[in-house]
Amino acid sequence: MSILDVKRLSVNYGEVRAADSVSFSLEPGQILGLVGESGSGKSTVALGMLRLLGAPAHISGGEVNFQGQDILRMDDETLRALRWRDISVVPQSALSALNPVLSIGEQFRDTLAPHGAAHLAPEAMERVELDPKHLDSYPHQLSGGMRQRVALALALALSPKLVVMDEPTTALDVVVERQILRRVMALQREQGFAMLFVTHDLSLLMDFATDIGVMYAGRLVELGPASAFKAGGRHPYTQGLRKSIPPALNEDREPYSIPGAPPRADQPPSGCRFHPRCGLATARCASQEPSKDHFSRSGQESVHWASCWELNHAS
Amino acid sequence: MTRIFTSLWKSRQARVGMGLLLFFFLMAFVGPFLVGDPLAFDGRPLLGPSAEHWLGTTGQGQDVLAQTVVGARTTLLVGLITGSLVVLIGALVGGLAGTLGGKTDDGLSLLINIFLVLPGLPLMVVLAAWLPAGPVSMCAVLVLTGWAWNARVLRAQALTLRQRDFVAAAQVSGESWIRILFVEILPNMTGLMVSSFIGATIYAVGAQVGLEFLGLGDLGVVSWGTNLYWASNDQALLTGSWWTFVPTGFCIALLGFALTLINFGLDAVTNPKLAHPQRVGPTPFIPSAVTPSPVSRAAKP
Amino acid sequence: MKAAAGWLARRLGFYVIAAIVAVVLNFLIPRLMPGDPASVLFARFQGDLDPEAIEGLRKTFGLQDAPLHEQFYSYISALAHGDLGLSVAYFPTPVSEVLGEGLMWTGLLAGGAVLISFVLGSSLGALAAWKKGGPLDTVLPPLLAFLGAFPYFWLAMLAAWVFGFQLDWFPLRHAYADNLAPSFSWPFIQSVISHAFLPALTMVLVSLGGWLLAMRNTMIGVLGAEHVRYAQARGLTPRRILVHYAARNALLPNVAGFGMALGFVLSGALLTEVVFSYPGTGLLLLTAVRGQDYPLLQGLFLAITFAVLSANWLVDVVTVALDPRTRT
Repeated sequence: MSILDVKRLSVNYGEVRAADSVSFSLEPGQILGLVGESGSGKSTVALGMLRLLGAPAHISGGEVNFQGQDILRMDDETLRALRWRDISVVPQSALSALNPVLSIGEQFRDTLAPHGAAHLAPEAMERVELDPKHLDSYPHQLSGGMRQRVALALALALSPKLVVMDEPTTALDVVVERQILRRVMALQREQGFAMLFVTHDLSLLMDFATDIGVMYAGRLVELGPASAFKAGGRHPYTQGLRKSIPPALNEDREPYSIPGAPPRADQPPSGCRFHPRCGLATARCASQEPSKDHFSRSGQESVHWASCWELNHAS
Repeated sequence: MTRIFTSLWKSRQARVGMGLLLFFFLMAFVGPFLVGDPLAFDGRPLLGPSAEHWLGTTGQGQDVLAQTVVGARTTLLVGLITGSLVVLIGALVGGLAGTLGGKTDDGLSLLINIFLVLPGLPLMVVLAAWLPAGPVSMCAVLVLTGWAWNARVLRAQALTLRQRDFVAAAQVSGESWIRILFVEILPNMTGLMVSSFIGATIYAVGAQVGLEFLGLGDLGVVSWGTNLYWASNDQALLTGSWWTFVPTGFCIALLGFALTLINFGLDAVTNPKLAHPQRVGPTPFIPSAVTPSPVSRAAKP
Repeated sequence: MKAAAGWLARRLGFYVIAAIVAVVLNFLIPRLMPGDPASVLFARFQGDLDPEAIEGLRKTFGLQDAPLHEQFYSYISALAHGDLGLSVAYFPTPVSEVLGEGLMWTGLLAGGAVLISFVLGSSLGALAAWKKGGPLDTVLPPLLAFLGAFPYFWLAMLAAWVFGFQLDWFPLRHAYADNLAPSFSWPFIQSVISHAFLPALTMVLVSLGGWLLAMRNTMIGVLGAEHVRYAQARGLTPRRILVHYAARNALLPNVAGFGMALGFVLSGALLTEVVFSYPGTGLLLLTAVRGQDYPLLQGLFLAITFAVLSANWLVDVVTVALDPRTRT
């Protein structure tokens, strides 16, 4: 059974719909990467489904079933009980996410003590290769990489079933990013939690995600196993993203970028939202929203679909 | 300025404030022609309110209504003039510090901070005690003790403006700092200067009334502060003659409240953060009745 | 800790400079005023005072016909010995003695009222922001803004008239009952409290709105901060978030503001003392003005300034204790 089942989730910022009818599910131990440009709605989906967005954001439709319970319709106390014991979050910037005037240790205690687990803090620090003496430090005294490790340690301290990572390494340099991700993957294998990993870096996801979802202008446009993306992906936007990954030194090709710019969130294009930038677009793309095309090969459990009218030509 | 006024008019608080302010302007500048001589001894002392003396008489047998109305003129004039001077000095000192930066800023900031930290009333009292009593001395004392707060606020604003692109561009193209201060910086601080002016006027009215209450004004001039001085001097509290101090105090409070309301309105206009605050707690679930359907939307050519 | 010590030392340096400015202003003001202060003074006091008092005045102001720098030297050396001259109104008591008791009562009344007002106002402001648009948030700010528009002393007059004169619930004047001698006995303490109640109440009422609004506005900003959302994601109780993640952070800039506003609030407090004939520095100020007691006036200015500067430095120490970022 899925641990998380998101059905037609829509999130609004006031009148503007930032995420439109997004559906996906997560099995225990699965690593789903959500990729898209900034403003595509990927973080909105990840934080919105946990009801972590402040006003003027609100959920305008859908279901988010976690272990069979709908998070969106839960009362505040039930939701609070779920938080951190079952679901944890690694924020994009631990510097702004941690309270600057409380020590790391105090913030661990605030988080773990209600679950009777305050004694786990030193162990959690060691698990992400941090010296427990840093529990006495304040956030501003640590380096960026160390702070992200603290956030990771906090997220994994209670061995949750689902960890949502909201661009956890975007602010770090590549070397530190790889170090931390290696640690994350080792811990994931150890603890077996399901993970939703939000990033703008498709190449990163292809290295470790089991599945990948691609978002464009508030919509999920393709979802499938990572292997399918390594093979090139189906949706024209996915293919564009694949091609815009900077070429390796020994590769002989020009760097590519998708023509045009993403649409404004308050004025999404009609039909397929990618059509103004798509080389394959026809009149139908501009007027009708494409339906999902499923191409799960027989014998494979993972779903793979993309929404595009011109898929046969695109593949 | 027109733009500020137009957006102010949209705020209900500011409209109430401006209405009240208009009332006090009429009271101060038209009212004195409608009431009798505030200094004439035309009744028995400490008469309660009656048809003849609507607000009663003072300990000297003067008409309280006439004193209240005429007092508005002096108090408002001194308040407005002081408010303007305070903003003028604040804009010049603060603007200069913010525009020039470096050593000038260090020196001026030190001066500003020293004047901020010195307690106002004792300094005012010492100054007022040595100066000859009168409206000019009063303004001088109030300006000298009150300029620093505005200078501080306006300096901070000038400092952020200086880092904007258009000021940087002007600097690179070699414009003199005088031009930068008067053409690029000060005109972009109008909103803040208006609210500073209102704040400074509130301060000036309050401080002036306080000093006069202590007996440090010209006691021969009718103003809201001297009204309260005489009320206190004539033992209003011990004789229970509330009408000698209630009307004036109420006017002072209402004037201050009106100015505060206008500033609230200004704040709501210029500070969007307060208008759209974050809500704390889980994101609400508000199913939208109308889901925008992209299919129904006509394709753009 | 080293950085904090350095910062506190720099702040101390600033207050020392401010104190020097106050001392110099105190010296210059009587001398730079239009007219000749010596003749003004002597014209006022000739005949009223015995020659000894006039000699005291002369000494206090250094108004011998000496050049300015010599006058300054004798002024400074007298000051260094705590010699502020003799009071005219309380002749022949030295000004420093008159000041001592006044400072104590003001510290008790104004200090207490300012602290109560700050703590209460900040708490209410935090709650108003937490439940934005709730009853607390819609009723209190405009009500307190209206109360805050009244001059302190006028509200004090009203309170004295209603609760002291009409209803006779509280004593009208002085710091304790005339028939009691100061002691650490319960009746005396009771008398001090009942005498301080009305003046303290008016001070709190007038200044409460300022603290409330400042805290409310800072809180609204902090509540939108990332660390509050992250605390919420971690399932912390709303109460814990309110106190430790929002209010505590919002308090920091307001503590700094508290120091800045101290001098201003004190001015109102001094006038309140006048209304209640409370024997603090405010009443001394009035006595000095009415009795043209210039030595006392100058002494009051210096004493109150030094008190405010010291209080500001204490606030800085509190800031360091509250904000770990200043400590490293």
